[in-house]
Amino acid sequence: MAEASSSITEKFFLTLKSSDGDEFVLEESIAIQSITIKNMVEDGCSSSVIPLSKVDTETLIKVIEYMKMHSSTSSNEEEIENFDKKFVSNSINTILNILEAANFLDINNLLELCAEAVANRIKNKTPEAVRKIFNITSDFTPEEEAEIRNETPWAFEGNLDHSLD
Amino acid sequence: MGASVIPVLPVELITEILLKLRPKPLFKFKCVSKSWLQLISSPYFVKTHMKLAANDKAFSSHRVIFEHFKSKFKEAFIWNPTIRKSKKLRKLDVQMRPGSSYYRHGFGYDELHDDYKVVIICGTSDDGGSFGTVVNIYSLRTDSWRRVNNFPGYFPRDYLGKYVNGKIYWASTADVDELNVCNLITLDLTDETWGKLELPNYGEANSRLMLGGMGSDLALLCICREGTTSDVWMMKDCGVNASWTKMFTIKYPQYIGEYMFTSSIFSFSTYFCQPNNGEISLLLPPTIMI
Repeated sequence: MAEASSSITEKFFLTLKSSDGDEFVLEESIAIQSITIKNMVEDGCSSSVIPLSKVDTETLIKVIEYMKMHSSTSSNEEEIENFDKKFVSNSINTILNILEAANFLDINNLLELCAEAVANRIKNKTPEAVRKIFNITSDFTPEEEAEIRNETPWAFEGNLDHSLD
Repeated sequence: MGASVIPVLPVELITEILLKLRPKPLFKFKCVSKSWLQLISSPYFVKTHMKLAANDKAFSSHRVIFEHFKSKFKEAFIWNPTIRKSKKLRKLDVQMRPGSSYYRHGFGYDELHDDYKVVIICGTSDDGGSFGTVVNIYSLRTDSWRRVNNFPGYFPRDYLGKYVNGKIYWASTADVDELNVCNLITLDLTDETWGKLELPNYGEANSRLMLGGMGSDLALLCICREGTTSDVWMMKDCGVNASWTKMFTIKYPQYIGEYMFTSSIFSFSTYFCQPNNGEISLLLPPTIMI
């Protein structure tokens, strides 16, 4: 600690507040991977607590884990790769929440990672399972749905996965 | 806590996810809801998805097949193996004389007009032995054939031209009897103009050449005569001031060179792809190992 004081630039810290009211203190250099936060810092809006009203505590913890691992100083490539692999093994709902947060916070790498992960998880699923995962109610009549299915029957071939995760 | 709440995602995030899917699951998910059907069928989505897919694998989604009989051009189909649809092209009326005619073809995408095009080059020799060449181009959008003029006058050696980044390339020789490729002729699918591209200084005159695509760049495989090594060249920028760079040399056993010369499958199934990690793989018929 003593030897670092003169050679390392001073560290700035930000406080992020989740929608549940929990506060997290994070180094500015890590937090500005979020373009949304970076813009706030540049506009001078970060002197007090930054409220993230669209991100709940559980999701924010994950996003902070991700940003810490991906900050340029701390990790090597292999570590990051392993981290990402484990990261996307979270439940689909968790990943969808993180995807929304990544969109709101404007963290492009995280958004890409989550979109790819969700696509991988749903590609073999039935349309019924996908509806449940995305909280969608079908607005087709049974006849309309049958017609779409009959146009490309091959798309429904193979072992389809009914599970929701 | 957060995980128990099912988020209702905005359409731009649904789009991000669906763009990562291959065509088969996309067709399956058209029946999820009306808004998903509308999204997946929208021209914007289809175009963006196709662009991403094209980066992934050079033109894997459409093929063109010909049926011909004794060098008489009969019928052509465009086939999309991914969605399992084919389309028979409108009949093209060209007169070919058995034994003294050739045809070459090419297929590609014209981004500006959002159109798929098929090119047919027909050459017929007159009694004096010189070739007259007629080029027709088919537009899928208008379902019609049109003549393309100003053919540059070389002999395209490749049966199927290589489509890379808006242009079709044929390795060409100076004349029909000539074996050595002297340059590449190119057809720009957007404005339908011809061009000519010099070859790199690849050494041996008798090398066999094979065209490939590497991402959105043109690649050239030069197979040396002995069949012991091959060089891969890459054309970084296919514009006016284009220049070739030698990427690497492949070593492989002698007999493969012989096999390549006689295998017609080879030229149809070869392409180079460069995934994000920077590796380059050469896809060959299953009997060949590098």
